Amino acid sequence: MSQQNTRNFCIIAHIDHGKSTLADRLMEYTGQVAKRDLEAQMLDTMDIERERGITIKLTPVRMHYTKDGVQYTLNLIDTPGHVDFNYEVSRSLAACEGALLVVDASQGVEAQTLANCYLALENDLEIIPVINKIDLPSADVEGTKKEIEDAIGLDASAAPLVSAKEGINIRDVLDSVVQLIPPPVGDESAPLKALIFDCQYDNYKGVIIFTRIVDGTVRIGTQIKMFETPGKLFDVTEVGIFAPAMQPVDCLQAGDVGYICASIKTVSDTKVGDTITDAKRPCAQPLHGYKEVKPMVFCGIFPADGSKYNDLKDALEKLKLNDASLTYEPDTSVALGFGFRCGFLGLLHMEIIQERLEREFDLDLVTTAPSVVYKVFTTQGEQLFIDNPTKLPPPTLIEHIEEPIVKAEVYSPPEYVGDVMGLCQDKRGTFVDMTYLDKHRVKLTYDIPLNEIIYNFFDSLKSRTRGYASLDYELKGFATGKLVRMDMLLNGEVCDALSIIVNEERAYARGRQMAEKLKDAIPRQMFEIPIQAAIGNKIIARETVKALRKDVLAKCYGGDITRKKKLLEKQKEGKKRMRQVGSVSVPSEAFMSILKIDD
Amino acid sequence: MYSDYSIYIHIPFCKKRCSYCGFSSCTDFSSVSAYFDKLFEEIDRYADPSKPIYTVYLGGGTPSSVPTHCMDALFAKLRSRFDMSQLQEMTVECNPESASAPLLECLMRNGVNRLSFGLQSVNDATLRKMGRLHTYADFVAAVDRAKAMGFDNLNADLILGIDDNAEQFLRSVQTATDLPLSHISVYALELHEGTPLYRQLDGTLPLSDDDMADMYDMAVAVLAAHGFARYEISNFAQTGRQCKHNLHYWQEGRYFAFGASAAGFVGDVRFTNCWDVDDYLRLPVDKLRAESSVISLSEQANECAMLGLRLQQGLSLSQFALRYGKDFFTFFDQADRLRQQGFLAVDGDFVHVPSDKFYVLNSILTDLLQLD
Repeated sequence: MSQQNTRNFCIIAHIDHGKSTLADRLMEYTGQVAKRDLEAQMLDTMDIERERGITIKLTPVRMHYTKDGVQYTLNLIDTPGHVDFNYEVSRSLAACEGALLVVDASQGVEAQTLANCYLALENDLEIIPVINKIDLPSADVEGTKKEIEDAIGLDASAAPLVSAKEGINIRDVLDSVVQLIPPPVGDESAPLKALIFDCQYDNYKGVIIFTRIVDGTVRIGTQIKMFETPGKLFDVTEVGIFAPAMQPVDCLQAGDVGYICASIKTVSDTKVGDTITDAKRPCAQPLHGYKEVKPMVFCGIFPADGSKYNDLKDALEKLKLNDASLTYEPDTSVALGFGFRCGFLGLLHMEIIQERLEREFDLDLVTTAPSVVYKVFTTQGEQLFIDNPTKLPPPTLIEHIEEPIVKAEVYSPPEYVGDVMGLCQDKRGTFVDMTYLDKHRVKLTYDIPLNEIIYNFFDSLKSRTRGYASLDYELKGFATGKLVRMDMLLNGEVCDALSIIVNEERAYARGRQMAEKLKDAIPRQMFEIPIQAAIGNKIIARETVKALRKDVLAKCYGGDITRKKKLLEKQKEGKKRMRQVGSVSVPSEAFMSILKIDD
Repeated sequence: MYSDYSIYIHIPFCKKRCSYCGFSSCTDFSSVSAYFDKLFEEIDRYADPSKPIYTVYLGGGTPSSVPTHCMDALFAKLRSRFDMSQLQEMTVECNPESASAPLLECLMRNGVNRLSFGLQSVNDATLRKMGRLHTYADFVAAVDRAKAMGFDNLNADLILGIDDNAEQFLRSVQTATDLPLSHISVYALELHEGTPLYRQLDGTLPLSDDDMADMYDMAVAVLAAHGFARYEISNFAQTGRQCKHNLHYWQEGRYFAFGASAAGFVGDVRFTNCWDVDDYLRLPVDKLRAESSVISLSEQANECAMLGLRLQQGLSLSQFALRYGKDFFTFFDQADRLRQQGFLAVDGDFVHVPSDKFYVLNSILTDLLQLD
C-alpha cells in the first residue's frame, strides 16, 4: 500500500460528545465490524472505560475505504480523554496527520475539546470539525459552527453534520478524511524511525508496541533499539496491523500504523514517545517530543484484610505490566500494616487503578489521602523528595519546603466566573489571565498548588458551576510554601495513616473537618475517645467520640444462649475487621471518609 | 443447685401478633391440640425422671391463651415423666386479657407459684399502637384476680423505648412499682426484621442510644427507690423474689426444653428446636432439633462468664475454679487488663462489672471471651 493512499487520523472530543460512537460507526461503515458484533463502543475495551465513557488505553484500528475507485487505508488512533493523560494524547496525535474534532451540537465546544485541539494544532495536524448529535431536538448546528470558528478559528462551513448514534452522514466523514487529511510523507528507504505511542503487555508475546512508522521499514528479524533505553537490543518477532484485532503482516513501512513484538519483558523498556530505530542502521536523531512521565500524585494502598498483602502485590505487578506510569513500593503503617506507596499521573489515574484493583482483582482496599511530591530542603543542605507525610523530617531539620505548582486553565460560562475565581483564590491560586473565548466561554488561568487541586478542587468546581466548568492543568514548577505536617491523634496516639502535609493556614480548617469526619466514622467504644488534630505538639482541633452506653439492654431470649453467643461472635468479628490504633478500633471506612470532605 | 435441671416449655399461640414481636408464635388456634400432642410426644421422648426438677417456665407466645384442659394435661404429663418433688418455682407467662379466673384456678391447682405478665406499657395509646389486646385497666384487673386467687409472686414486663417519650415510659415504671408486684423486667425495644414495627419504623429505633440509656438509668433509680433492686441487667426484684429460673440460666444451669424454637442445655449439649410451628408439627420427634452442639468445658467457662457477668453480683470465683479447673483471671488472659481499666471488679468471692460499666457489657465480653 503506497503512502499516497494512507490516512492516519484520530478523533478529538470532549467526554460524552460521541467520540467512541463515531469510531464505531466508521468501523461499521467500512465493514470492519459487523453491526451485530458491535458491542456498544468497540474501542473502549476496559469495563471502566465503558462505564465512565472515557478512553484510557489507546486502541488503533485499520479500515479500508474506496472512493472514486481508489482504495484507501485509514488508520484511526483513539486518544484518551482526560487531563491526567495529556502526554499520551500528545504522542498519539504525533502519530497522525489529521484529526476529527467532534463537537456535540447541543453542547458546543468544551474545555477538553479545546485543550486537545490546541495539542493537535501544535502537532501541525489537519483538523476537520465534525458536528455530532444533529438528531437531538436541542441541537444548534449554526451556533455550534460559529462557536468552532470563534473559539478555535477553524472554518466549520463544510463540517460534516452527523448523528453517530443514528448513523447519519457517516460517509461525509470518511470522504473528508480522504480529501482533507494529507498522506504521510516518510522515506521508505531511510533508516527506521518509528514512534511508540502506546504499548500493552501480553503473556505470550511480551510487550506489544503500538507504533507509527515515520521512515524506513521493520520486519521479523529486524534488530531494533530505542533511544531512551540505551544498550538494549531486541529482535523483532512479529509485526502487524489492527484489523481491529491484531493481524500479523510481513512488514510495516513508512506511514503505517501497527504493532511490533520483540520479546520485550517489561513495559518500562518501551517508553511512550520514544523512537524505535534499526540497531544496525540507526537514524541520526530521535523524533521530537519525548518526555519522561513522572507520577504526580501519591497515596498509600493497603489491603483491608491484612492477610491479602500478597494478593495486592501480585495485582499491582500485573497492572504495572501494562502501565509504565504506575509506580509502587512497599510501605508500612502502624495503623494499616503492610501495603504500598503508589504513584499516579493524576487523580483519575489513581481512581482507575484503585477501581481496577477492587474489581478485577477482587480486593478490598484502604487508601490514604493523596499527596503530591514536596521538595524538602534540610538544614544540613540536603534536598529530599517527599511524597509520604510520615517520611517528612522533623520541623527542626527543615530549612524550607517547596511544593509543586500547576498552571490550571478553567473553561467556564461567563456567569460563573465569580464563583470560579473565588474557588481558585480559596485554593491559594494566583491569577494569571482571563480570556473571553466567545460570549459563552471564558478561560481563566491560575497558578495553583497541586496539593489544592488534588484536594477536592474538581468536585468543588463542578458543584459551584453546576457542572459547566472544566479544568485542564499542567505542572509548572515548584514554589516555597508554608507547609506543615498535621497528625491526627486517637485517644492520644498518632495514627500515621491519617497524617497529611498541608499549608499552615489551611491546617485549622482541615483539622476540624477531619476530626468531625472521624467522629462520625469511628463507632462508640467502651471508653471516651478524644480525636485531635495536631501540628507538632500543638492541638488545633478536637472532637470526642462518647463512650458507648447501650449495648446490653436487649432481651436475652429465654434460654437461647447459642443465639446470644452468636451475637457476641459477630461483634468480635466486626472488631477484628477494624484497625487497632492504640486502644481504639477504627473501621476501614474511617480512613476513607476523610477523603470525602466537602468545602 | 448447678446440678439441678429446669424445664422450659414454649407455647407459641397468640390471639394476635404484637407489632414488635420477633418470637416464634402462631395465631392459628386450630392446631393447639396437635401442638400439645407433639409436645407430649417430645416430653416422652426426652424426659429423664432421674433428674429432680428445680424450676419450670412456660413461655410464649401466650401460654395463658390456650384452653385449661390442655394446661391440665401438660402439667399432668410433666408430673408423670419428671421428678417434681424438689420443685421451687413454676412460672407461666400471661397476658392480662387471657388471664381469666378459670385459667388462674387451673394454674393454681397445678402448682404454678409465679406469674409473669406482659404489661409493656401503662399507656393505652402505646398498647394499641403495638397491637396489644389489653388496656392498662385490664392489667390491673388481672393482677387483682391473681392476688385474690392467692398468687403472691407476680412479675410485669415493660418495654423501654416503645412509648412516644421518656415521660410516658417513666410513668409506666412508676405506676408498676405501686402495684402488688414482686418483680419487674425492663427490656429495651429491639427491631426484628420482618415484623410490622420494623417496616413501620423503617428499621430505625425512634430513640437514640443515649436517650435509651438515660431512660434506663432513670428507671433503675425509680425501681430502686421502690424496693426493686437490679439483680440482672433487665431484671429487678424485691428481696428474695429474684426469678430462680432465669438465675439458673445465668449461672450455666442445665435445662430441658420442649416446643417450637425452645432452646435447652442437657448434659453438655445445647440444642435449639425448629423455629416454625408448622415444622414442629410436621417433623418426626427425632428430627425436632434444628441445631445441637456439644459444649466443651472451656466453652462452658466462656458461657459462664458471658452469662454470669449479666448479674449485678457477678459470678463466684471459687465456683468458677471448681467447675472449670482454672482461676478466672488465668483462664481469661484479658481479665486482668479489664480489671485494671475498671471494666471488671472483684468483691470478695465475686467478679462483676461495675454498675457504671454495665452499658458496655457486650464490648467487655467481646474483649474478655475466647470465642473462636
